[in-house]
Amino acid sequence: MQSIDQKTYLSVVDQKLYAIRKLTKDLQRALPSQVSAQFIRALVLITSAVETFLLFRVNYLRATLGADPAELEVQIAFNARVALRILGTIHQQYLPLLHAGSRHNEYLVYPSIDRAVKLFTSEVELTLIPDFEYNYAFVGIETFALREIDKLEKHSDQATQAALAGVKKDAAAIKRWITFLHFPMADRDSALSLCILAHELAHLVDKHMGLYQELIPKELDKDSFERLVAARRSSPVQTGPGGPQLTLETLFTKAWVENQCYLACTQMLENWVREIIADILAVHAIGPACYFAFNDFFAYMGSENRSSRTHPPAAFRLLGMLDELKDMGYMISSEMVDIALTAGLQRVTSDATHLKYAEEAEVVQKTIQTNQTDLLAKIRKVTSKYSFGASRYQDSVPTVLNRLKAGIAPIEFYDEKSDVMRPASVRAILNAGWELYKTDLTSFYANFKAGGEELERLDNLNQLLFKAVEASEVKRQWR
Amino acid sequence: MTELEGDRKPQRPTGAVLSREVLLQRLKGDLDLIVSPILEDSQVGDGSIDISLGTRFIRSRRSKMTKIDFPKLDKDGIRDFQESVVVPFGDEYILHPRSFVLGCTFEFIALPSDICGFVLSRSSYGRAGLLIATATFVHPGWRGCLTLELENLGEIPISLKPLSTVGQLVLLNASKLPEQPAAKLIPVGPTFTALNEDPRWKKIEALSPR
Repeated sequence: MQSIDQKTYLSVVDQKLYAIRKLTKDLQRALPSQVSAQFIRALVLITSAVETFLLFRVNYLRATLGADPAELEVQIAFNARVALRILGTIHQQYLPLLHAGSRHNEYLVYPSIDRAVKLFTSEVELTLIPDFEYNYAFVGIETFALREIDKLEKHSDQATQAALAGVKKDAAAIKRWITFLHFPMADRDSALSLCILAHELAHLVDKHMGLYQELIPKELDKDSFERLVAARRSSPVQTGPGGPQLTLETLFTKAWVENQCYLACTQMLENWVREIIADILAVHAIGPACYFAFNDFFAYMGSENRSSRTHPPAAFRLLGMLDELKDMGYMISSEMVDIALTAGLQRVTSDATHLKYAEEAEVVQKTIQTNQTDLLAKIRKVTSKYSFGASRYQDSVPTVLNRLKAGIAPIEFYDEKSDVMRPASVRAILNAGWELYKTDLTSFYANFKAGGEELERLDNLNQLLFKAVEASEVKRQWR
Repeated sequence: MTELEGDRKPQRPTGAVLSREVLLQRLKGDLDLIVSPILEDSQVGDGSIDISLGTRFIRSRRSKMTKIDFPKLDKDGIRDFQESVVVPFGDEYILHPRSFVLGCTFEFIALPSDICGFVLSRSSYGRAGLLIATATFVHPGWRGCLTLELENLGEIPISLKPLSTVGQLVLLNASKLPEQPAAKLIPVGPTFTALNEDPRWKKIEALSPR
């Protein structure tokens, strides 16, 4: 006998289906048309698959187990629980994303982000998600509707599978990547800070192209790894008050300890390499703006300059970005941006030399150091076409900067050669914004009446940048 | 010379409407006349440039306030009865009969010190009952996106779509201002009313017999 009968289970599934469909419709109404359209379509298909699954399974079970009511009861309850688990996932994981998406108003930058991503793949739908947690993150769900339906198929008989085939076909037509870019609500009005999104988008590019699989070093640094294993083996094990003094080597074989260390190091190595890939891709995509945005982001986070399992320390990452910018031709002129970058490099280099890497972090850092040249060479192959190097910067940013300094949203420019007005590039707009902010804010503030609040003016600079990004994108896409 | 002056300005008498040829010439200047972006050449005509609706709106909302008493409003108090909304491209804002909403031009406008302008409704919208502006004069040296006071005077709801051409900016030669006027802020969307900051309120209060 089961403590909860099958009738209750089936009724609960119906109620949950009803509630989720109603919620989805309500959330969809709060969104502008076309926003998260593919995601919503996928949710509708999953709920439809759950309904079909249970209907056909119950019919099948009643037809085959009619003579054994106890077993029928158990089987229906089991299948209902399969359905409820999937509905639970929708309720707990997917609908919150839709809800958060309905609160955002970053439609001003969305078309530009969408265009940037589509340079790599058209099989993607992006939704921007503002969070109260101060963090930027990328969540990419690959063929998620199909995967949820597959879970149902595993528990299906032939007739149920046939019934699910139609829904599955529709699910296959949904875009491959449903992605969510999380950003802090506090940065909602800061075009300068939102440059961090370039790094998160780079994670999508990495995942889509499978770069990290090719780039992760195959061998760990031998010396530091052996030191780690030796330190682990001799580390004490907690045995409680009065207990014997034990170490790991007294309890486990060397091979076991080595294996545990290896797993921890390779996982950390993968995480760090993925961050490095995203940093370098983003630096090439948007140039110095990427470094400046991360510099301020780390400061805003108040983050300690320490390594974690998921991310290398701030100084390590900033140094990587600045070294790459140097390789892209920056920091050799006496232009304001180069002076600012050079000053940054001096500070970061000094900070990075004092960094201490312990245990797994030491193994990972040394492994990356050994493979760095090869790693960067491979990433640069991907970035060579779109890299925003120093010459591109000098060709496009100064004109944009002049307009910003005069308090004008830099949207388009007259191109004398072709006698037409051309839209300013998003990269030039963002970099001009950062250069102005980092090197010459006083000249921008000169546009305003005396006595105003400086932060209000800085907010105004961000608004001008948003306007320029929005309007230049419309100009670019206008047919 | 002011920052917004170019070097290709033909001399024209004050008050003269600028021809299409002159407008096109001055739009090409780096920091001269700016009405941007111009999406289609046909937007620029003799004497005027078509302007379209932006994505940002400020609408009224019901609040606990019994009246708008401008001198007593503080900066945030204004937001008690008005709120900002963004309507993405492709979407619409429905303006119901006898309703009012603040919109803005999609175009960013910067007038040099020798040009002034007037905002006019497009007659086709006017005939459908849409009024787009009450404060129609744009000063020489002004920068930003113009706030449009949109009102539906008709009997049928009107769909307001970003980028639709709702009006025109008539541009005229003006006497040169001595220098670029400093801005409080440079608007890129509709701006909340700033009547509470009018220094005249204190003088009016001072005349009160109490």
